Amino acid sequence: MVPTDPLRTLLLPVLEACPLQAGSLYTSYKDLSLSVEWHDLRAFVLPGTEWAVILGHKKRQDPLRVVLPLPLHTTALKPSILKLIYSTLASLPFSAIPVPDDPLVPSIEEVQREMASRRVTSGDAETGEGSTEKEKDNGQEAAEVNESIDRETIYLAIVTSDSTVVYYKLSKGIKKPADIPDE
Amino acid sequence: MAIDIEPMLASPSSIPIYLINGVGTVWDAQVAATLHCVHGISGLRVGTLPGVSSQNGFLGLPITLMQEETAYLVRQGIAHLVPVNPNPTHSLPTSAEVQKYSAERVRRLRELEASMRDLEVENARKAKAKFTQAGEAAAAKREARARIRAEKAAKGGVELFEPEEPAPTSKPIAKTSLEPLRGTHFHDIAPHPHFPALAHLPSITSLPHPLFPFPSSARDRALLATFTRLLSLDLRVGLGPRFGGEFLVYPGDYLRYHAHYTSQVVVGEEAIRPAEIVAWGRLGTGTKKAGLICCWEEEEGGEEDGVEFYSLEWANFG
Repeated sequence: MVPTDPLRTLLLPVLEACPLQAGSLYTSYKDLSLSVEWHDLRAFVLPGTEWAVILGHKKRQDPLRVVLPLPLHTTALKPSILKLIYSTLASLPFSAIPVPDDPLVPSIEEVQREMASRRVTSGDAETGEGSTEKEKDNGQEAAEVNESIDRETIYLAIVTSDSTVVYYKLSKGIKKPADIPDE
Repeated sequence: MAIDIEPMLASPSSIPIYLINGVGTVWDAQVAATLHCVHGISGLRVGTLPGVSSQNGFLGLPITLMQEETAYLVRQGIAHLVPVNPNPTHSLPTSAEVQKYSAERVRRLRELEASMRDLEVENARKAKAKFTQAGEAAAAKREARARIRAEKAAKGGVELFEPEEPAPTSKPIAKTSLEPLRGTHFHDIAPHPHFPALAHLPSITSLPHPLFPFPSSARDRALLATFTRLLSLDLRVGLGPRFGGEFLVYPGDYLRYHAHYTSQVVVGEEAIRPAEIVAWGRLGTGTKKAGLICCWEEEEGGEEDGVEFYSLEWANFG
């Protein structure tokens, strides 16, 4: 019996709703989670469209960012689709955003917490105070999560046939390049 | 599409752009400066200078304009097109004409120099008069002079008031006889054989025209609409092919700034291929520019202003 792929199981509803993006969605979700190490990922279909996006944090203090997975050779992306995606994002209510999925692997912070708690349970008296400090850190970390959404920028996750993913930032309007200083 | 070949009269301040083989050209330095400084249109200098070996760095007049620049100027009512006979064998000037043109050119330059000299003299006189009135040193000098006169008068037999210095005669500024650059030409223009009447007023004020068939297609309209919209946002637009784009977009005068964007124009519902996005993004990354995707859609009623802009950069990860 072929073991089930937990990521496929997690994403199945979205993969079936958007077959054009299925392969690129699966690969880019995995890439964002394991390689690029984004947090709080969730994939869903934008309401009123036939396009799936991934939302997540690059850094927890930054707003939620929107990723649009695309296969390299698709011809389905048209100006009207871009306009629709941006206008849907602009009016997307928070109630329409699903809660984050469970991460595919524990994060670094979670591993550190696990190791700290093991040191506590191993009977080290000095770590009693340390675990309290860790709990404070956790609380602070949760308080720093930025739940707003960057509605003006989409990251295009372009997936090739060898599973390479390249990311390009597409901002609405005329935005100065990041590496040009203000004059 | 019906082409309007009954041109409207160009306005008195309209700039003539000489149409040679379908390319708009500017041959006058003042016109070039006006277009550059006032209207944000720079064109491309293509004239070679005699005696200068490094031609690439020191090109001069004439200026050739992109088709978008030419159409923009005509449509905005800033310029009109004067078609010139493209067949030089029938319109090469005779040696007598060359001498006559040269003499006229020298005369105009000398008149211009004279008027500038007169203007300098007048300005210097005004500045001096202003200084004389306001200067403390001048006031003290006047008081001292008055004191000396009074002393002399007290000694007797001397005029209380010295004759005033004659006011400097102001030479009237020579009125230049330069013809205004409005709808007439410095020299006679050899008219286009198919449209001989267009060598003089009225000229081409409406586009497209058989001699300048832009904009004709949807892509042409998209290019012109994008160009017009970018200029309306106080951006400057130059040629983009050497950076792999349609236009280069500058935040201001191209003599001051590097381009910030390499633009691509997408017409109507053309597909935007991810492979092209990668190519456009890579083009920008190595050259400190962002890609600018300009999506044009023809509006109902023939309005050409429906342009959506998207800025493209590499995401810096992945």
